[in-house]
Amino acid sequence: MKTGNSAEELIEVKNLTKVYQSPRGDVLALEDVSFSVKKGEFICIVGRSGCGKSTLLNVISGLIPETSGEIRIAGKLLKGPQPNIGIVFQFPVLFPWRTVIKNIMLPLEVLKLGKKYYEKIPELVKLVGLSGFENKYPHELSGGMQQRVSICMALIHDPLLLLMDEPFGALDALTRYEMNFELLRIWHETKKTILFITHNVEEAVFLADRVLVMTPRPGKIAKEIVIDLPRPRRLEHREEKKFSEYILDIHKLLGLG
Amino acid sequence: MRIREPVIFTVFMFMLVIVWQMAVEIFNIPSFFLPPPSAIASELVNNLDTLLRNTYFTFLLIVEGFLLAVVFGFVLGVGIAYSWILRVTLYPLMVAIRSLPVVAIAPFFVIWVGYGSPSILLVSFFLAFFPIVIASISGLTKIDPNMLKLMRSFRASEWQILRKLRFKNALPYLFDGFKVSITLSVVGVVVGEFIASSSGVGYLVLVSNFSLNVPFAFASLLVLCILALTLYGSIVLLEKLLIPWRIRE
Ligand SMILES: Nc1ncnc2c1ncn2[C@@H]1O[C@H](COP(=O)(O)OP(=O)(O)O)[C@@H](O)[C@H]1O
Ligand SMILES: [Mg+2]
Repeated sequence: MKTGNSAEELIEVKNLTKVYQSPRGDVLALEDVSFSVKKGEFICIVGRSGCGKSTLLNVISGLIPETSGEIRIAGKLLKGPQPNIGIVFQFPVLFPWRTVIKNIMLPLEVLKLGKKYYEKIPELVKLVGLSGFENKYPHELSGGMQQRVSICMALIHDPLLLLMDEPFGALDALTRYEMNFELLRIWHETKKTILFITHNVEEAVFLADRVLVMTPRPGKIAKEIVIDLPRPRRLEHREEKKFSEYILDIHKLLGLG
Repeated sequence: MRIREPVIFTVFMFMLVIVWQMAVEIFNIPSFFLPPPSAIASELVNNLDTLLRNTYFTFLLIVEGFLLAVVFGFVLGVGIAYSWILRVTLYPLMVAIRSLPVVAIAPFFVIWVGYGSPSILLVSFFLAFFPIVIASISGLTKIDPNMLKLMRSFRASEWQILRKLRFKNALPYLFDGFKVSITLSVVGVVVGEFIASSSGVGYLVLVSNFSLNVPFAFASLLVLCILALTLYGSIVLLEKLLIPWRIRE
Protein backbone atom coordinates (compact mmCIF):
# COMPACT_ATOMS: atom_id res chain seq x y z
CA MET A 1 0.00 0.00 0.00
CA LYS A 2 1.25 3.43 -0.92
CA THR A 3 1.12 6.30 1.49
CA GLY A 4 -0.91 9.26 0.36
CA ASN A 5 1.61 11.48 -1.37
CA SER A 6 4.84 9.47 -1.65
CA ALA A 7 3.96 8.65 -5.25
CA GLU A 8 4.37 12.25 -6.29
CA GLU A 9 7.38 13.07 -4.10
CA LEU A 10 10.33 13.26 -6.44
CA ILE A 11 12.94 14.08 -3.80
CA GLU A 12 12.77 12.90 -0.24
CA VAL A 13 15.57 13.99 2.05
CA LYS A 14 15.49 12.53 5.57
CA ASN A 15 17.74 13.49 8.50
CA LEU A 16 20.58 14.29 6.17
CA THR A 17 23.89 15.07 7.87
CA LYS A 18 27.17 15.82 6.17
CA VAL A 19 30.50 16.08 7.92
CA TYR A 20 33.61 17.05 5.95
CA GLN A 21 36.73 15.48 7.33
CA SER A 22 39.72 17.73 6.90
CA PRO A 23 43.19 17.86 8.47
CA ARG A 24 42.18 20.99 10.38
CA GLY A 25 39.26 19.17 12.00
CA ASP A 26 35.78 18.11 11.01
CA VAL A 27 33.27 20.53 9.50
CA LEU A 28 29.62 19.87 10.18
CA ALA A 29 28.22 21.25 6.91
CA LEU A 30 24.68 19.90 7.13
CA GLU A 31 22.80 18.76 10.20
CA ASP A 32 19.56 16.84 10.18
CA VAL A 33 18.16 18.30 6.99
CA SER A 34 14.78 16.96 5.95
CA PHE A 35 12.46 18.09 3.19
CA SER A 36 10.70 16.78 0.18
CA VAL A 37 9.96 18.06 -3.28
CA LYS A 38 6.95 17.11 -5.38
CA LYS A 39 7.14 16.32 -9.03
CA GLY A 40 6.95 19.51 -11.08
CA GLU A 41 7.70 21.87 -8.20
CA PHE A 42 10.10 24.79 -8.36
CA ILE A 43 11.95 24.92 -5.06
CA CYS A 44 14.52 27.53 -4.11
CA ILE A 45 17.03 27.21 -1.33
CA VAL A 46 18.39 30.48 0.02
CA GLY A 47 21.10 31.09 2.54
CA ARG A 48 24.23 33.07 3.11
CA SER A 49 27.36 31.85 1.50
CA GLY A 50 29.05 29.09 3.46
CA CYS A 51 25.79 27.79 4.98
CA GLY A 52 25.98 24.48 3.13
CA LYS A 53 23.87 25.05 0.01
CA SER A 54 26.38 23.62 -2.44
CA THR A 55 27.04 20.73 -0.10
CA LEU A 56 23.34 19.92 -0.07
CA LEU A 57 23.16 20.04 -3.84
CA ASN A 58 26.29 17.95 -4.28
CA VAL A 59 24.93 15.29 -1.94
CA ILE A 60 21.55 15.23 -3.70
CA SER A 61 23.30 14.92 -7.06
CA GLY A 62 25.19 11.90 -5.75
CA LEU A 63 28.57 13.53 -6.36
CA ILE A 64 29.60 13.41 -2.70
CA PRO A 65 28.40 10.86 -0.14
CA GLU A 66 26.23 11.75 2.82
CA THR A 67 27.47 11.07 6.34
CA SER A 68 24.09 9.90 7.59
CA GLY A 69 20.45 10.09 6.66
CA GLU A 70 18.95 9.15 3.34
CA ILE A 71 17.92 10.59 0.01
CA ARG A 72 15.36 9.09 -2.32
CA ILE A 73 14.88 10.23 -5.88
CA ALA A 74 11.63 8.99 -7.43
CA GLY A 75 11.37 6.52 -4.55
CA LYS A 76 14.80 5.00 -5.13
CA LEU A 77 17.56 5.29 -2.55
CA LEU A 78 20.32 7.48 -4.00
CA LYS A 79 23.72 5.86 -4.44
CA GLY A 80 26.04 7.95 -6.59
CA PRO A 81 25.26 10.08 -9.63
CA GLN A 82 22.25 9.06 -11.62
CA PRO A 83 21.07 9.91 -15.11
CA ASN A 84 17.65 11.21 -14.14
CA ILE A 85 19.30 14.32 -12.72
CA GLY A 86 20.63 17.30 -14.68
CA ILE A 87 23.00 19.73 -12.98
CA VAL A 88 23.80 23.37 -13.70
CA PHE A 89 26.79 24.74 -11.81
CA GLN A 90 27.49 28.33 -10.77
CA PHE A 91 29.96 28.84 -13.58
CA PRO A 92 29.15 27.31 -16.93
CA VAL A 93 31.15 24.12 -17.35
CA LEU A 94 31.73 23.81 -21.07
CA PHE A 95 34.47 22.04 -22.97
CA PRO A 96 36.34 24.81 -24.79
CA TRP A 97 37.30 22.47 -27.65
CA ARG A 98 33.69 21.67 -28.44
CA THR A 99 31.26 23.92 -30.25
CA VAL A 100 27.91 24.67 -28.61
CA ILE A 101 26.17 21.82 -30.40
CA LYS A 102 28.98 19.36 -29.56
CA ASN A 103 28.89 20.40 -25.92
CA ILE A 104 25.17 19.72 -25.87
CA MET A 105 25.84 16.25 -27.30
CA LEU A 106 28.39 15.40 -24.60
CA PRO A 107 25.89 14.00 -22.06
CA LEU A 108 24.30 11.86 -24.78
CA GLU A 109 27.69 10.49 -25.82
CA VAL A 110 28.75 9.71 -22.27
CA LEU A 111 25.41 8.15 -21.33
CA LYS A 112 25.39 6.31 -24.70
CA LEU A 113 21.86 7.43 -25.49
CA GLY A 114 20.20 6.75 -28.81
CA LYS A 115 19.08 8.60 -31.89
CA LYS A 116 15.81 9.72 -30.37
CA TYR A 117 17.70 12.06 -28.03
CA TYR A 118 19.80 13.56 -30.82
CA GLU A 119 16.65 14.28 -32.80
CA LYS A 120 15.37 16.45 -29.96
CA ILE A 121 18.44 18.71 -29.94
CA PRO A 122 17.14 21.39 -32.38
CA GLU A 123 13.94 21.76 -30.39
CA LEU A 124 15.80 22.15 -27.11
CA VAL A 125 18.34 24.55 -28.64
CA LYS A 126 15.42 26.71 -29.69
CA LEU A 127 13.75 26.41 -26.30
CA VAL A 128 16.80 27.70 -24.40
CA GLY A 129 17.35 30.46 -26.95
CA LEU A 130 20.55 29.26 -28.60
CA SER A 131 19.38 29.16 -32.21
CA GLY A 132 22.09 30.50 -34.50
CA PHE A 133 24.85 29.84 -31.95
CA GLU A 134 25.18 26.10 -32.59
CA ASN A 135 28.60 26.28 -34.21
CA LYS A 136 30.20 28.87 -31.95
CA TYR A 137 32.90 27.98 -29.46
CA PRO A 138 32.20 28.73 -25.78
CA HIS A 139 34.75 31.56 -25.66
CA GLU A 140 32.79 33.34 -28.37
CA LEU A 141 29.71 33.54 -26.11
CA SER A 142 28.75 35.88 -23.28
CA GLY A 143 28.34 34.53 -19.74
CA GLY A 144 24.57 34.43 -20.11
CA MET A 145 24.73 32.53 -23.39
CA GLN A 146 27.24 30.09 -21.92
CA GLN A 147 24.88 29.39 -19.05
CA ARG A 148 22.11 28.72 -21.56
CA VAL A 149 24.35 26.02 -23.05
CA SER A 150 24.82 24.54 -19.58
CA ILE A 151 21.07 24.48 -19.05
CA CYS A 152 20.65 22.79 -22.41
CA MET A 153 23.27 20.18 -21.41
CA ALA A 154 21.44 19.55 -18.15
CA LEU A 155 18.17 18.95 -20.00
CA ILE A 156 19.27 17.05 -23.09
CA HIS A 157 19.12 13.58 -21.54
CA ASP A 158 15.59 14.34 -20.36
CA PRO A 159 16.11 14.06 -16.59
CA LEU A 160 13.25 14.31 -14.12
CA LEU A 161 15.08 16.72 -11.90
CA LEU A 162 17.14 19.83 -12.53
CA LEU A 163 19.60 20.87 -9.82
CA MET A 164 20.95 24.40 -10.13
CA ASP A 165 23.66 25.87 -7.90
CA GLU A 166 23.55 29.68 -8.09
CA PRO A 167 23.48 29.43 -11.88
CA PHE A 168 22.98 33.15 -12.45
CA GLY A 169 25.16 34.37 -9.59
CA ALA A 170 27.95 35.46 -11.91
CA LEU A 171 25.70 37.41 -14.29
CA ASP A 172 24.93 41.11 -14.20
CA ALA A 173 21.53 42.07 -12.74
CA LEU A 174 19.76 42.65 -16.06
CA THR A 175 20.97 39.41 -17.59
CA ARG A 176 19.97 37.63 -14.39
CA TYR A 177 16.39 38.97 -14.67
CA GLU A 178 16.32 37.88 -18.28
CA MET A 179 17.56 34.41 -17.38
CA ASN A 180 14.98 34.17 -14.57
CA PHE A 181 12.20 34.63 -17.10
CA GLU A 182 13.83 32.22 -19.51
CA LEU A 183 14.16 29.59 -16.82
CA LEU A 184 10.52 29.94 -15.81
CA ARG A 185 9.51 29.56 -19.45
CA ILE A 186 11.70 26.46 -19.83
CA TRP A 187 10.29 25.04 -16.61
CA HIS A 188 6.78 25.68 -17.85
CA GLU A 189 7.38 23.98 -21.18
CA THR A 190 9.40 21.01 -19.98
CA LYS A 191 7.52 20.45 -16.69
CA LYS A 192 10.74 19.50 -14.92
CA THR A 193 11.19 19.59 -11.19
CA ILE A 194 13.72 22.25 -10.25
CA LEU A 195 15.81 22.64 -7.13
CA PHE A 196 17.44 26.04 -7.40
CA ILE A 197 20.05 27.41 -5.06
CA THR A 198 20.70 31.10 -4.67
CA HIS A 199 21.88 33.64 -2.13
CA ASN A 200 19.64 36.21 -3.77
CA VAL A 201 16.41 36.43 -1.79
CA GLU A 202 14.49 38.34 -4.47
CA GLU A 203 15.44 35.82 -7.08
CA ALA A 204 14.27 32.97 -4.84
CA VAL A 205 10.89 34.55 -4.12
CA PHE A 206 10.36 35.45 -7.75
CA LEU A 207 11.06 31.93 -9.01
CA ALA A 208 9.85 29.52 -6.39
CA ASP A 209 6.73 27.68 -5.33
CA ARG A 210 8.41 27.22 -1.98
CA VAL A 211 11.55 28.75 -0.53
CA LEU A 212 13.65 26.76 1.93
CA VAL A 213 15.64 29.12 4.12
CA MET A 214 18.98 27.78 5.32
CA THR A 215 20.97 28.98 8.31
CA PRO A 216 24.67 28.29 8.84
CA ARG A 217 26.94 26.45 11.27
CA PRO A 218 25.66 23.83 11.11
CA GLY A 219 23.68 24.09 7.89
CA LYS A 220 20.00 23.62 8.62
CA ILE A 221 16.69 24.42 7.05
CA ALA A 222 15.27 27.10 9.31
CA LYS A 223 11.93 27.50 7.61
CA GLU A 224 9.93 26.72 4.57
CA ILE A 225 7.95 29.55 2.99
CA VAL A 226 5.20 28.91 0.48
CA ILE A 227 5.19 31.64 -2.16
CA ASP A 228 1.62 32.34 -3.00
CA LEU A 229 2.02 34.44 -6.13
CA PRO A 230 0.22 33.72 -9.39
CA ARG A 231 1.86 32.00 -12.35
CA PRO A 232 3.19 32.84 -14.81
CA ARG A 233 5.32 35.25 -12.80
CA ARG A 234 5.64 38.73 -14.21
CA LEU A 235 7.75 41.77 -13.51
CA GLU A 236 4.76 43.46 -11.81
CA HIS A 237 4.71 40.76 -9.14
CA ARG A 238 7.91 42.25 -7.80
CA GLU A 239 5.96 45.41 -6.96
CA GLU A 240 3.29 43.61 -4.94
CA LYS A 241 3.07 43.99 -1.19
CA LYS A 242 3.15 40.23 -0.70
CA PHE A 243 6.43 40.03 -2.60
CA SER A 244 8.19 42.48 -0.32
CA GLU A 245 6.69 40.81 2.75
CA TYR A 246 8.19 37.47 1.73
CA ILE A 247 11.51 39.14 1.23
CA LEU A 248 11.37 40.84 4.61
CA ASP A 249 10.43 37.54 6.30
CA ILE A 250 13.33 35.75 4.72
CA HIS A 251 15.78 38.52 5.51
CA LYS A 252 14.72 38.27 9.14
CA LEU A 253 15.23 34.51 9.11
CA LEU A 254 18.70 35.10 7.68
CA GLY A 255 19.48 37.33 10.64
CA LEU A 256 19.20 40.75 9.03
CA GLY A 257 17.17 43.34 10.92
CA MET B 1 49.72 45.85 -38.21
CA ARG B 2 49.86 42.26 -39.52
CA ILE B 3 51.37 43.26 -42.85
CA ARG B 4 53.62 45.98 -41.46
CA GLU B 5 55.59 43.87 -38.99
CA PRO B 6 57.15 41.45 -41.52
CA VAL B 7 57.86 44.37 -43.84
CA ILE B 8 59.69 46.24 -41.08
CA PHE B 9 61.63 43.09 -40.23
CA THR B 10 62.65 42.55 -43.86
CA VAL B 11 63.85 46.13 -44.21
CA PHE B 12 65.76 45.77 -40.94
CA MET B 13 67.49 42.58 -42.12
CA PHE B 14 68.30 44.17 -45.44
CA MET B 15 69.92 47.12 -43.72
CA LEU B 16 71.80 44.85 -41.34
CA VAL B 17 73.28 42.94 -44.27
CA ILE B 18 74.37 46.19 -45.98
CA VAL B 19 75.96 47.56 -42.81
CA TRP B 20 77.70 44.21 -42.26
CA GLN B 21 79.03 44.16 -45.85
CA MET B 22 80.25 47.75 -45.62
CA ALA B 23 81.85 47.24 -42.20
CA VAL B 24 83.79 44.23 -43.43
CA GLU B 25 85.06 46.19 -46.45
CA ILE B 26 85.81 49.46 -44.65
CA PHE B 27 87.63 47.89 -41.69
CA ASN B 28 89.25 45.21 -43.83
CA ILE B 29 88.03 42.43 -41.57
CA PRO B 30 89.59 39.10 -42.60
CA SER B 31 87.14 36.55 -43.94
CA PHE B 32 88.06 33.84 -41.40
CA PHE B 33 87.12 36.27 -38.63
CA LEU B 34 83.85 37.56 -40.06
CA PRO B 35 83.01 36.76 -43.69
CA PRO B 36 81.07 39.39 -45.68
CA PRO B 37 77.49 38.54 -46.71
CA SER B 38 78.57 38.49 -50.35
CA ALA B 39 81.07 35.67 -49.66
CA ILE B 40 78.45 33.73 -47.70
CA ALA B 41 75.97 34.13 -50.54
CA SER B 42 78.43 32.95 -53.16
CA GLU B 43 79.31 29.87 -51.05
CA LEU B 44 75.61 29.22 -50.70
CA VAL B 45 75.03 29.34 -54.44
CA ASN B 46 78.17 27.43 -55.42
CA ASN B 47 77.61 24.61 -52.96
CA LEU B 48 73.84 24.49 -53.06
CA ASP B 49 73.86 20.83 -54.01
CA THR B 50 76.06 19.75 -51.09
CA LEU B 51 74.13 21.96 -48.70
CA LEU B 52 70.75 20.62 -49.75
CA ARG B 53 71.88 16.98 -49.59
CA ASN B 54 73.23 17.44 -46.06
CA THR B 55 70.24 19.50 -45.02
CA TYR B 56 67.97 16.65 -46.05
CA PHE B 57 70.06 14.23 -43.96
CA THR B 58 69.80 16.56 -40.95
CA PHE B 59 66.12 17.26 -41.54
CA LEU B 60 65.21 13.57 -41.50
CA LEU B 61 67.09 12.96 -38.26
CA ILE B 62 65.47 15.99 -36.58
CA VAL B 63 61.99 14.85 -37.55
CA GLU B 64 62.67 11.22 -36.60
CA GLY B 65 64.11 12.18 -33.22
CA PHE B 66 61.20 14.49 -32.61
CA LEU B 67 58.58 11.90 -33.58
CA LEU B 68 60.20 9.22 -31.44
CA ALA B 69 60.19 11.67 -28.54
CA VAL B 70 56.53 12.51 -29.12
CA VAL B 71 55.40 8.89 -29.21
CA PHE B 72 57.43 7.59 -26.29
CA GLY B 73 57.11 10.81 -24.28
CA PHE B 74 53.34 10.78 -24.55
CA VAL B 75 53.05 7.11 -23.64
CA LEU B 76 55.26 7.63 -20.58
CA GLY B 77 53.28 10.79 -19.75
CA VAL B 78 50.02 8.82 -19.74
CA GLY B 79 51.69 6.16 -17.60
CA ILE B 80 52.96 8.66 -15.05
CA ALA B 81 49.65 10.56 -15.02
CA TYR B 82 47.78 7.37 -14.14
CA SER B 83 50.24 5.32 -12.15
CA TRP B 84 51.39 6.24 -8.70
CA ILE B 85 54.24 3.76 -8.84
CA LEU B 86 55.65 5.24 -12.06
CA ARG B 87 55.33 8.69 -10.54
CA VAL B 88 57.62 7.77 -7.64
CA THR B 89 60.08 5.64 -9.63
CA LEU B 90 60.51 6.53 -13.31
CA TYR B 91 59.68 10.21 -12.92
CA PRO B 92 62.46 11.11 -10.44
CA LEU B 93 64.89 8.90 -12.39
CA MET B 94 63.99 10.83 -15.53
CA VAL B 95 64.54 14.17 -13.79
CA ALA B 96 67.93 12.97 -12.57
CA ILE B 97 69.06 11.82 -16.02
CA ARG B 98 67.77 15.03 -17.51
CA SER B 99 70.11 17.05 -15.31
CA LEU B 100 73.13 15.57 -17.15
CA PRO B 101 74.61 17.76 -19.91
CA VAL B 102 74.03 15.99 -23.19
CA VAL B 103 77.62 16.42 -24.42
CA ALA B 104 78.80 14.51 -21.34
CA ILE B 105 76.83 11.40 -22.16
CA ALA B 106 76.68 11.54 -25.96
CA PRO B 107 80.02 9.66 -26.25
CA PHE B 108 78.36 6.72 -24.46
CA PHE B 109 75.58 6.76 -27.04
CA VAL B 110 78.22 6.18 -29.70
CA ILE B 111 79.50 3.18 -27.74
CA TRP B 112 76.01 1.79 -27.18
CA VAL B 113 74.31 2.24 -30.53
CA GLY B 114 77.21 2.91 -32.90
CA TYR B 115 78.62 5.76 -34.93
CA GLY B 116 76.39 7.77 -37.28
CA SER B 117 72.62 8.05 -37.51
CA PRO B 118 71.70 5.82 -34.54
CA SER B 119 73.66 7.87 -32.02
CA ILE B 120 72.62 11.19 -33.59
CA LEU B 121 69.03 10.05 -33.29
CA LEU B 122 69.59 9.07 -29.69
CA VAL B 123 71.05 12.49 -28.78
CA SER B 124 68.10 14.22 -30.42
CA PHE B 125 65.64 11.89 -28.70
CA PHE B 126 67.38 12.40 -25.36
CA LEU B 127 66.84 16.16 -25.55
CA ALA B 128 63.41 16.19 -27.17
CA PHE B 129 61.84 13.51 -24.95
CA PHE B 130 61.59 15.28 -21.58
CA PRO B 131 59.53 18.31 -22.63
CA ILE B 132 56.96 15.96 -24.14
CA VAL B 133 56.71 13.89 -20.96
CA ILE B 134 56.28 17.01 -18.84
CA ALA B 135 53.71 18.50 -21.25
CA SER B 136 51.77 15.23 -21.33
CA ILE B 137 51.65 14.94 -17.56
CA SER B 138 50.52 18.55 -17.16
CA GLY B 139 47.96 18.34 -19.94
CA LEU B 140 46.43 15.11 -18.69
CA THR B 141 46.26 16.08 -15.05
CA LYS B 142 45.74 19.87 -14.89
CA ILE B 143 42.03 19.65 -15.50
CA ASP B 144 39.32 22.00 -14.31
CA PRO B 145 37.80 20.09 -11.36
CA ASN B 146 34.36 21.22 -12.50
CA MET B 147 34.83 19.43 -15.81
CA LEU B 148 35.67 16.23 -13.96
CA LYS B 149 32.64 16.80 -11.76
CA LEU B 150 30.47 17.22 -14.85
CA MET B 151 31.80 14.00 -16.36
CA ARG B 152 31.27 12.13 -13.10
CA SER B 153 27.72 13.44 -12.87
CA PHE B 154 27.07 11.52 -16.10
CA ARG B 155 28.83 8.50 -14.63
CA ALA B 156 31.57 8.67 -17.23
CA SER B 157 34.08 5.81 -17.18
CA GLU B 158 37.79 6.62 -16.80
CA TRP B 159 38.22 5.64 -20.44
CA GLN B 160 35.56 8.18 -21.48
CA ILE B 161 37.19 10.82 -19.28
CA LEU B 162 40.56 10.06 -20.88
CA ARG B 163 39.22 10.24 -24.41
CA LYS B 164 36.77 13.08 -24.18
CA LEU B 165 38.45 15.24 -21.54
CA ARG B 166 42.09 14.49 -20.74
CA PHE B 167 43.38 14.06 -24.31
CA LYS B 168 41.69 17.25 -25.51
CA ASN B 169 42.82 19.15 -22.45
CA ALA B 170 46.37 17.99 -23.13
CA LEU B 171 46.51 19.32 -26.71
CA PRO B 172 47.54 22.93 -25.97
CA TYR B 173 50.09 21.71 -23.41
CA LEU B 174 51.41 19.20 -25.95
CA PHE B 175 51.88 21.86 -28.58
CA ASP B 176 53.84 24.00 -26.15
CA GLY B 177 55.92 20.88 -25.52
CA PHE B 178 56.30 20.26 -29.28
CA LYS B 179 57.71 23.75 -29.78
CA VAL B 180 60.37 23.25 -27.13
CA SER B 181 60.99 19.72 -28.31
CA ILE B 182 61.53 20.47 -32.00
CA THR B 183 64.04 23.18 -31.10
CA LEU B 184 65.87 20.76 -28.83
CA SER B 185 65.77 18.09 -31.50
CA VAL B 186 67.63 20.47 -33.83
CA VAL B 187 70.23 21.07 -31.11
CA GLY B 188 70.47 17.32 -30.49
CA VAL B 189 71.03 16.43 -34.14
CA VAL B 190 73.70 19.12 -34.59
CA VAL B 191 75.49 18.02 -31.41
CA GLY B 192 75.19 14.42 -32.61
CA GLU B 193 76.65 15.33 -35.99
CA PHE B 194 79.55 17.14 -34.30
CA ILE B 195 80.34 14.00 -32.36
CA ALA B 196 79.45 11.07 -34.54
CA SER B 197 78.84 11.88 -38.17
CA SER B 198 80.35 12.44 -41.58
CA SER B 199 77.31 14.10 -43.08
CA GLY B 200 74.66 16.62 -42.13
CA VAL B 201 74.64 20.38 -41.69
CA GLY B 202 76.28 20.10 -38.27
CA TYR B 203 79.13 18.13 -39.81
CA LEU B 204 79.52 20.75 -42.57
CA VAL B 205 79.81 23.54 -39.97
CA LEU B 206 82.40 21.52 -38.09
CA VAL B 207 84.66 20.63 -41.04
CA SER B 208 84.46 24.07 -42.66
CA ASN B 209 85.50 25.57 -39.32
CA PHE B 210 88.49 23.24 -39.15
CA SER B 211 89.51 24.08 -42.69
CA LEU B 212 88.96 27.80 -41.97
CA ASN B 213 86.37 27.97 -44.73
CA VAL B 214 84.36 30.34 -42.58
CA PRO B 215 82.08 31.70 -45.36
CA PHE B 216 80.91 28.15 -46.03
CA ALA B 217 80.42 27.55 -42.29
CA PHE B 218 78.24 30.65 -42.19
CA ALA B 219 76.30 29.48 -45.23
CA SER B 220 75.68 26.15 -43.46
CA LEU B 221 74.52 27.99 -40.34
CA LEU B 222 72.15 30.07 -42.43
CA VAL B 223 70.64 26.92 -43.91
CA LEU B 224 70.35 25.40 -40.44
CA CYS B 225 68.60 28.51 -39.20
CA ILE B 226 66.08 28.38 -42.05
CA LEU B 227 65.49 24.66 -41.43
CA ALA B 228 64.89 25.17 -37.71
CA LEU B 229 62.52 28.08 -38.30
CA THR B 230 60.59 26.13 -40.93
CA LEU B 231 60.12 23.20 -38.56
CA TYR B 232 59.05 25.48 -35.72
CA GLY B 233 56.70 27.32 -38.05
CA SER B 234 55.10 24.07 -39.19
CA ILE B 235 54.26 23.23 -35.61
CA VAL B 236 52.75 26.66 -35.01
CA LEU B 237 50.70 26.21 -38.18
CA LEU B 238 49.57 22.73 -37.16
CA GLU B 239 48.58 24.11 -33.77
CA LYS B 240 46.39 26.76 -35.39
CA LEU B 241 44.69 24.08 -37.48
CA LEU B 242 44.20 21.55 -34.69
CA ILE B 243 43.32 23.87 -31.80
CA PRO B 244 40.94 26.45 -33.24
CA TRP B 245 39.49 27.00 -29.76
CA ARG B 246 42.77 28.18 -28.26
CA ILE B 247 42.31 31.80 -27.29
CA ARG B 248 45.24 33.89 -28.43
CA GLU B 249 46.44 36.88 -26.54
N1 LIG C 1 35.52 19.77 0.66
C1 LIG C 1 35.34 20.43 1.81
N2 LIG C 1 36.11 20.14 2.89
C2 LIG C 1 35.92 20.78 4.06
N3 LIG C 1 35.00 21.72 4.28
C3 LIG C 1 34.20 22.07 3.24
C4 LIG C 1 34.33 21.44 1.97
N4 LIG C 1 33.40 21.98 1.14
C5 LIG C 1 32.74 22.90 1.86
N5 LIG C 1 33.20 22.95 3.14
C6 LIG C 1 32.68 23.80 4.22
O1 LIG C 1 31.33 23.49 4.39
C7 LIG C 1 30.57 24.67 4.61
C8 LIG C 1 29.48 24.78 3.57
O2 LIG C 1 30.06 25.01 2.30
P1 LIG C 1 29.18 25.14 0.97
O3 LIG C 1 28.25 23.97 0.91
O4 LIG C 1 30.08 25.34 -0.16
O5 LIG C 1 28.36 26.48 1.26
P2 LIG C 1 27.55 27.43 0.27
O6 LIG C 1 27.39 26.75 -1.03
O7 LIG C 1 26.26 27.69 0.98
O8 LIG C 1 28.33 28.70 0.15
C9 LIG C 1 31.55 25.82 4.57
O9 LIG C 1 31.88 26.17 5.90
C10 LIG C 1 32.74 25.26 3.85
O10 LIG C 1 33.92 25.86 4.31
MG1 LIG D 1 27.97 27.42 -3.00
